[in-house]
Amino acid sequence: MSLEETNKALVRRYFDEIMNGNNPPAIDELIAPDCVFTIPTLPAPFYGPAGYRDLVNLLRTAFPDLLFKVEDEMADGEIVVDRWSATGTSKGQFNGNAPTDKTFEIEGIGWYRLKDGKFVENRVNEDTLGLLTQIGSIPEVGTPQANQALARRFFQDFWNENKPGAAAQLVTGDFLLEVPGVQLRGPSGLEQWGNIIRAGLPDVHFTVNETVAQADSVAVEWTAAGTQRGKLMGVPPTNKSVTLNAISVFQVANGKIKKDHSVSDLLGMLRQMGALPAPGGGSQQPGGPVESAELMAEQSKLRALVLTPGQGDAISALGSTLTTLVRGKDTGGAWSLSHITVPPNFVAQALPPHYHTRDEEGFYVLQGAITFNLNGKEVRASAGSFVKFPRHLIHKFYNPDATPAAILLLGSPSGIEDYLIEVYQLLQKPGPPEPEKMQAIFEKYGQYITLTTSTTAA
Amino acid sequence: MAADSKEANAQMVQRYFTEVLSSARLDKAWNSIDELMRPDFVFRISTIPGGIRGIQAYKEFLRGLKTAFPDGVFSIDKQMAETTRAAARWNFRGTHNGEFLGVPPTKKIITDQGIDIFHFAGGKITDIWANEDAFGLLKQLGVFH
Repeated sequence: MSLEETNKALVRRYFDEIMNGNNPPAIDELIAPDCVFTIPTLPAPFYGPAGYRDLVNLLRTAFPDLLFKVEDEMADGEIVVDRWSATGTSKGQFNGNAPTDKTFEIEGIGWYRLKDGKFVENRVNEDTLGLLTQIGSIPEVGTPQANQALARRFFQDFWNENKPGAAAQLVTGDFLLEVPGVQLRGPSGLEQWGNIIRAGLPDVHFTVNETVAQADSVAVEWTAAGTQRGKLMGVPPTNKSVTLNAISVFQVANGKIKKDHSVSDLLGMLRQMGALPAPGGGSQQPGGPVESAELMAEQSKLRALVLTPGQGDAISALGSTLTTLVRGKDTGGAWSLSHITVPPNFVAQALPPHYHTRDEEGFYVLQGAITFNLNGKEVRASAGSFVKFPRHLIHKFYNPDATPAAILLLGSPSGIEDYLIEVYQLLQKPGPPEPEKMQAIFEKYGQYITLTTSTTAA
Repeated sequence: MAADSKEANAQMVQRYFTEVLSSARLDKAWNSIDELMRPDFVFRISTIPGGIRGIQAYKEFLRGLKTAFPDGVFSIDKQMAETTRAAARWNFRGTHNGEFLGVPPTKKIITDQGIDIFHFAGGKITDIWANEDAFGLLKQLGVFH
């Protein structure tokens, strides 16, 4: 028998006796002392016969009915390659995931090097994604199960472990946090809220009691517990243990949380802090105002901004100068302010009709006159005029006059200032702007170009 | 070198990774596909249920891959061959610049590794079974943690 035929027969024995568990002692006969087994599914390699015993034990504990079948085999010198299929049922822990009782069927390809009748190097690629998906260890993205897992990560990674960068990983750029009396935007808004709560309850711990998911929404009933060592809800530190019960409703888009609307038993927490009388009697110390004093303090940490004439980041293109006065980072993402000069006869160069899906815009005309096209209707706004657009209203603005114009542009929430900077940077490059690049900027900031100004977008 | 020899098969596998998968130009890759693959060739990979059947469907698959990773390069790590079969262990590296497996571009540099099995008849590739670390790849794209 050729070396190749001998080795192929050894691979068949390997599957029958070792991997299918029919003759475990074959491990010592077939696996060389310095054998290395690697597979992307499992993080660390397995070494020698002892490693193989661990591997087989791990696999057969997770999937007691695990069955491999060789579907194709080939050999060349000391190398054997085979394609196999495997079936099994999740009955024990695997990769840190609890058993699900679900079955799987996947394929894999093994690459084996044999020396003197023993395996010395075994490299396997298998359909790890299929295995974990079929046994239910990883939910598919966008499913209610995946959204529930995302909501749990929000409480674990952001609130309980306070992992660096968790906010940016978990929520969208235009994330909206809505709790009574508070509205914050974006990952920075969430971090700001986290700082406020942790300042009051440094040991705060969240427990998720129940999650319910449907389509893109997840509702979570949770309890937060902590010791009030700092000022919270306007109440000075009491060092009392408090719990807060709440329900959050999350909106999920593309695997990230877009909105967190939470309603909680704040009155109950204030009573525990002694800031409000318990129902039915017992006068306690008067409570501080239930306004978000901490939010105000947190907002005041944002740098105070004083710009003298000529200050601000200026960028020019097509004879127009954009000066960014206030950016999202200065306002916790709430709003932005930009100064724009518009040269005379600025018509053909102006942006085509478009609408915004994320932000509202307000224009104050400082100098000259700007002609706005609002939903197909022309309005000439001279210095001192103010124009505001809601989202989705198709608009365009230009300066057909022979005198230069200047405007202040207020955007809320912030974002439009970054959009404008990117547009000006693109327009600064020689030659006409590449439509794909312009389109990419539009998509990034939720702006849409339309070919008509006659109707409002949906 | 006779068709359907070990050496011819190994060389076709090298051409497949260099001229088809790693080519920066789609038209050149398509020419090589016409030369290397039988028209009814079947490509099987777990992320595409049912596989890819025929040269035309494979060309569209490659176009998608090149859109997702325009600078993607596959390098062969190890090769083996028989007279009707061959296999290769490979590594991949590319920048995620277009949608891939439903994930919008992240601009991240992604690596992957896998093993492909090839079947040959009449001097052409008739079947490929690709098995790669799609799970690891999606982890790099931030889909799983």
